[in-house]
Amino acid sequence: MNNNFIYYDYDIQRMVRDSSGTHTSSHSSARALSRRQFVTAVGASGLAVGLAGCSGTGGGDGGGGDGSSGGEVSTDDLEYGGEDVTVEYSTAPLFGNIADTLKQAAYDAGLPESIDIEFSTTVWGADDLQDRYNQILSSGRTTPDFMLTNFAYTPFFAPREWLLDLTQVLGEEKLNALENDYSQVMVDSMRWDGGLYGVPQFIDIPTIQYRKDLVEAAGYDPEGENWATEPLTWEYFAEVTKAAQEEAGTDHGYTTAMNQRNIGSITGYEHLVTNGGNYFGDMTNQNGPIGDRPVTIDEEQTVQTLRQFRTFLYGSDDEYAIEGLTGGITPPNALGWDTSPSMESFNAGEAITHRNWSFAIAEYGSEENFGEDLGVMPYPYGVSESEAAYEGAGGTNAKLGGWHLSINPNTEKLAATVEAIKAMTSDEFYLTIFEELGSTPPKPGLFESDRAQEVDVMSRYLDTLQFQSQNQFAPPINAVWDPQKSAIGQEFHACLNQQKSPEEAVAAAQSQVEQIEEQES
Amino acid sequence: MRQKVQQAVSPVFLKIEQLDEDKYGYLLVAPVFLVLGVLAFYPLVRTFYFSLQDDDLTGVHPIGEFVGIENYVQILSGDANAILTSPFFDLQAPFSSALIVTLLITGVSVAIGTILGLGMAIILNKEFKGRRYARTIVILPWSIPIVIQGMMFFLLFQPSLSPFVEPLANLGIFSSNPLISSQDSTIIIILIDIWRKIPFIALIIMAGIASIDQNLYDVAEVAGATKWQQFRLITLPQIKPVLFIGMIFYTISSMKIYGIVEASAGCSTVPTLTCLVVQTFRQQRWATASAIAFLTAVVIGVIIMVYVVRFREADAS
Repeated sequence: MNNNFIYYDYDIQRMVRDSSGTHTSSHSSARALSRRQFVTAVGASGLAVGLAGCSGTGGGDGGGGDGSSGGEVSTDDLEYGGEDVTVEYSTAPLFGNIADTLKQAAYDAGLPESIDIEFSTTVWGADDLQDRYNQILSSGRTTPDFMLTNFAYTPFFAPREWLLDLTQVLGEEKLNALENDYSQVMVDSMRWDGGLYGVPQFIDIPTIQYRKDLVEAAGYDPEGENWATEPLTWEYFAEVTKAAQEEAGTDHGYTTAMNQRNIGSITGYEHLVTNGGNYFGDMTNQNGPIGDRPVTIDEEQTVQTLRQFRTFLYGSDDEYAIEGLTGGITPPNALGWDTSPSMESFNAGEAITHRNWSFAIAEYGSEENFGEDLGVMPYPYGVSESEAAYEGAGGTNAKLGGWHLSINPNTEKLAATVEAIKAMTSDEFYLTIFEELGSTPPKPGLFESDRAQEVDVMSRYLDTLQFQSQNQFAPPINAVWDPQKSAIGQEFHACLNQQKSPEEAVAAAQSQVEQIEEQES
Repeated sequence: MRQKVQQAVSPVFLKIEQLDEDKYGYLLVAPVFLVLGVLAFYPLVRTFYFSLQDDDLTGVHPIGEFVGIENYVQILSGDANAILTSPFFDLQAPFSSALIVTLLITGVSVAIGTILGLGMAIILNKEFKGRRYARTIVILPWSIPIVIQGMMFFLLFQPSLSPFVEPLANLGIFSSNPLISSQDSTIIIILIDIWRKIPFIALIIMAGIASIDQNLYDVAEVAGATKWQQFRLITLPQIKPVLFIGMIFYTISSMKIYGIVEASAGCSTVPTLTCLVVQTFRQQRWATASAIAFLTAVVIGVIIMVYVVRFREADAS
C-alpha cells in the first residue's frame, strides 16, 4: 500500500516537471493533461458558467422582480388580434378532469378558436393551492396566465399586487354585471382597497343534506312542512335526527367535519351565527378595523353553541349538555373529520343528516346513491334574526364558499387571458359546470333559467340553494383571520373533546383573539 | 492579443505549477467548496437576513423594515405565540409546543430506531436462506412515498375504519380517537418515524459491518471471546464512524419532520417546527417564518455539534 503511494507521488512529480517543459519523460504520453491546461480549461468553463448565470439573473430580475405587477394596463395590452395563442389555466382536479368539456363550453360561450386553454391541473384544497400560488406569484413567473382562486387569498395576494386588478381589464359591461347580477357577498369577497381581484367561478352553498326516506319513515313530513325553504330550529332538527336514527338503526344521526381546521372557521362558526352570535359583533365588523372592533367570543351565545355541540356529541350525560335538547346524534369521531371523511360516512348510509357544501348534492342525489331519497334543507337556527345579538347573525345562515378566476399580473398574454376569463364567466359556461359538476352559478338569476331547471339532480334542490344563497355570511377576509381562526379552532376543539369547559374555551379564545388584534392594530 | 493574455496569466500558472501537493489539492476542490457554500449557506444567510426584518402584511413586499433580533425575542419570550398557530416553546402545554414536540419525536425516534436498526443490520448480515428477499422487504418502508406512509397510519388509527383503535383504547394505551389527541398523535408520529427510518439506519450500519475485517472475529473466537464481547470490542468500535453519520442524518431528518405529520394527524394536532414554518409562511409572515426556520437550523446545528464532540471523545478514548 505504501509502495503504491510512493509510485503515485513519484508519477505526479514527474508529470509536474513534464508540464513545465524542464524535463522530458516517457510518462508524458500517459498523462497528457498538464496543470496549466487543466486550470485553463476549468477557468474557462467557470467563466462561461458564471457569465451564463449572470445573464440569467439579469433576465430573471427584469421579468419577475419582486413578483408585483407594477405599472398600469394599457389599451394595447387588451386588444386581442386573433393570433394563435395558448393560455395556461391553473386549476383544481375538479375542473382539470373534464378539461375538454370545459374548453368546448368556453368556445360555445364565444371564446375565439385561436385561443387554446391549457389546463394545468394541480391540487385540491385551499391551503395547498395557496402554498403553490405563494411560490408562483412571489417569484414573478409569467405563467400560469390565470388561475382558480379562493377569497381567503385576497388579503394576502392583493396588497402585494400578486393578482391583477380586474377593474382595469374587464370592461364596463362585465363590471356592471358583477355589480348587479352576481351574488354580492361573493363579488365583495374579492374586493380589496378599491380593486377587484377575481371573478366568481362558482359559489358553494352549505346546506343540510338528509335522508328524506328515513325521516319520513320516522313519521315526519318534510314536504308538508316545507323543510326545503322553511328552516327548522336546532331543537326540532335534533329531535328529527334522533328519531330517524333510532327508527332506521343507523350508526350516526348528524355528521359534519369538526376537526380543528373546520370547527372554528366553518362548522362551529355557522352554528354560532345561527345562534345569534359572531366573533366580532355585527357582520359589518368582519374585516376591521383591526384593533378597534369588538371581540365578542366570550359571550352567552358562544357558550350555548359549544354546549349545543357537546349535547349533539355526548348526549344528556355530558356535564355541559343543554337540558331538553336531544343529543347523542353526532359521533365523537367527527372531531377528527375533514370534509372527505364526513362525506364518506353519509354516503355510506351511516347518517341521517349531514352538513356539506352544495357540490356534494350532485353526488348524493345521483341515481347510484340516494336519488330522490335525498332531501336538502337550509341551515337550522337557534334564534331568529330579530332576536340575534348582532346584525347579520341569527336565523338560517351559512358560511360563504366558492372559487374565482384571477389573472397573473405578469402574464404575457393578457388580451387572450381576458377573453378566456370572459368566456369562462359567461352564463353559458356557468350552466355547463352546473350541469357537469353541480358547481352552483354565482348569479342567482341563473337558478331560474330553463336550463338550470332541467339539470339532473341539482334542479330538485334549486329552491333551497337559492334560499340559502340569500342567507350566507362571509368570514373575515384579512390577514389576521388566519391566526385568529386557528386559536378559536383549538379552543373550541379542546372543549368539544371534553378537555375544557365551554366557559374556559370561549374565555381563552377571546383572550387570544384580542391579543392578536392588539398586536396587529 | 493572445500573446498579451498569455503573458498576463503566465505568472499565475507558474505559481500554480509550483504549488505543493496539498495546496494544489485545495485549489482543485476550491470550486466545489464554493458551489456547495453558495448552495448551502446562501439560503441560510438569506433566511437570517429576512429574520431580522419585520413582517409586512399589507405592503407590496412581505418583508418590512429592519428590526434586529426583535422576531427572535418575540418567539423565544412567547410574545409571538398569539400569531403562531402553535407556541414555539411553552412548558405549560408541552404537546402544543413546536420545539418540545419536535425534540421529543427526534429523541425517542433516534434512540429506538438506531437500536432496532442496529439489531436488524446484525441479523441481516448473517448468512441465512432468503437473506436477499429479507433485505428487500426490510427496505420497503423506506421506499414508500411519505404521503402514503402518513395515510397508512391515518387509516390505521381512524376509529371508524380500524379494528385496532378500540382494543388499544380498552387497554388504556390510546384514547378512543387517538388522531385528535396531541399526546396520542405524537406517539403515533414517533412510531411512523421509527418504522420508516429503521431501514435507512440499518443499511448504513450494514455497510459498516460489511467493511469489518473478518479475521478480527476469527482471532476473537480463538481467544475465547463471547458473542457479546465480540460485539462490544470489535463490531461496535468498528461501525462507530458510520453509526454516528447515520444518526446525524436520522436526527436531521426527524428534526425536519413534516410530511407524515400533515398526512396523518395534521399539524394542528402535532405541531412540529417545520409545521410552524410552513403555516407562518402561508400567513405571509415571512420574517417570523424565517426566524423560526433559522432557530430550527440552530437547534439542529447544536445537536450535530454534540454528536461531533461525543464522536471525537469516543474516538480519542
